[in-house]
Amino acid sequence: MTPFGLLDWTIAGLALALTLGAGLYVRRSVGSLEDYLVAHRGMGLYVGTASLVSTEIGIITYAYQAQFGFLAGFSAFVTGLVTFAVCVALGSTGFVISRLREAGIMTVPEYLERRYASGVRVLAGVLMAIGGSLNLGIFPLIEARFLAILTGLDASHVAWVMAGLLVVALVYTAVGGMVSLLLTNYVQYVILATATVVVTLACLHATGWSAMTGAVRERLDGRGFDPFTDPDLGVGFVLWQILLWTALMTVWQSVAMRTFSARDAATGRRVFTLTSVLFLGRAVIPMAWGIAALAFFSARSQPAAVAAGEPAAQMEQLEASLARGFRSHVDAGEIEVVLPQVERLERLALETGSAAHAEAARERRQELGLVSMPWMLARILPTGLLGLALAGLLAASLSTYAGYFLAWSAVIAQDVVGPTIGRELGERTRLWLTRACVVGLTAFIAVWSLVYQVPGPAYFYLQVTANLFMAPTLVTIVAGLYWSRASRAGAYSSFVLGAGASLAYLVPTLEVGVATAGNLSWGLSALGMIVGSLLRPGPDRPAAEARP
Amino acid sequence: MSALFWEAVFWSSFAGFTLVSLLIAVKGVGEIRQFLRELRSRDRG
Repeated sequence: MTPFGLLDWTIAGLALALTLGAGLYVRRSVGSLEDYLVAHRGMGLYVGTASLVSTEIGIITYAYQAQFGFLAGFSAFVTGLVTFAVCVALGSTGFVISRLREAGIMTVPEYLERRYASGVRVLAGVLMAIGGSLNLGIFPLIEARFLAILTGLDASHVAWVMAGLLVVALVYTAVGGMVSLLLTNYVQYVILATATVVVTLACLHATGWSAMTGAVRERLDGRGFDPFTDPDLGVGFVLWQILLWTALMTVWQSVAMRTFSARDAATGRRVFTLTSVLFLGRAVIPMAWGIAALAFFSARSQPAAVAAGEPAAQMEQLEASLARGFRSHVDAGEIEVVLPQVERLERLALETGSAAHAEAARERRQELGLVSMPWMLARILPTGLLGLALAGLLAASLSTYAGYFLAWSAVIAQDVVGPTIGRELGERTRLWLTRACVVGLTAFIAVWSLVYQVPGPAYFYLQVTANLFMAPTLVTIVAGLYWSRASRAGAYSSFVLGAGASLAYLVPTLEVGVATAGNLSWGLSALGMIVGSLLRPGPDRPAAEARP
Repeated sequence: MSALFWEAVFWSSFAGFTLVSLLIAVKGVGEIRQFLRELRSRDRG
């Protein structure tokens, strides 16, 4: 039972009211589409950084990063180092971001029309709309479970809390667009950063760094310290992360909108330099919470009681025990009861080479990874701090929903619906079309989160849906900006091949691993661009003409 | 890669996150004020 009480609800409610008030305060300042989508290009360094980072940190970020830390130990930190390096490189070179900012565009696919053809813009827009919506679609699903554990509410009440969150985000996003977002994101960032620091100190106080190191050493069978030797990670995974984060920081619409909203290209670059430090923390800090949860429950667990006998019989006995009690123990937060059973099953499966038992144990460990951190927080945080943690989590979640609603709705309205209508739309119509898309997308997210079951770790699902369009988008934009021979045929080939490779992960019968699908997507996108452009060169607009 | 290396990564990232967040909280107020002033003067204009 969590000690979540009236004081906690009051703290969280006040923070939510402050955000909504800030969002609606500037509603009358939105007069044009440029105000609505890129805040009249008046974003400064610090507010811009707060906006970018708060949009890219949601409850889901804490959940999947903690899960990754729980499963991979300190090896998971490598993704934080990759993000840090990518942001520093972008900030110091201005690679892609400076040229896109100077192009004066409002959505990423808009550039593709200028450089290649309107068909490429629509194709990219469709893939972004699908991938982005699917990506966002599991956020409420995972976040609801997290909130249920932290607050002690039952699932039906949490569903109402999530619906309320979506409506609040919808209201100020639909009304004030990016102008509202910049203001609310600042308030939200201050709340979420405060909560992040306090929760981290509480985790460290409850477990201690040496216990975390010991848990990784003893509980992960030799894994957890070297990402390059971890069978689930390895060099291929790190390479994929470098490419993916380069794409995420340059052409992911919600991030790119901050670049487009910056006062100038130099401010955009400085935002990335400052963001590098925060994105390192965005990965490493919640991963450390996941490791702390592993240490916390390991310290309280007893070895699994299994009758002596053949390994096969022991595995059957463990499977039966888990089938009976896993769900109820997890729902009651008794992670320390089931964790040793899962670990024992894993070891026996490894010793005997039983793939079926190994897979069963793996799935259960993944689930434990998702719920252990919130269960630990519910047990270690006192009343008051729980409210602060919830306020931070809700702020993080709201800013993400609002940012993503605006980003993907902008793409759907400006790059898919607008161009396919077949006639030039007026500014006011495009503004209202974008607002209508915000409402439609919110409805879709609410429904999708109710009907879909995530295959495998959430971290991988999120990255694969993103990679549906990330690889071809970055490839076509980099080629468009820096390679004069890039052609329309190359752009089409890149999108078709890159998206197809990513989809392979979502088809269970193909048994394509996540890193393989990711790297394949990058390889085929690049191949499609090169071969397509060489076989069917122009006549497209060369890179120099597509720039302002 | 040793446990010591990851401990250094963690503390660096935690300290960096805290300091830059403080910087944003302090400097952001001025930027927000300027942003709102610009919006108001444009609305009046």
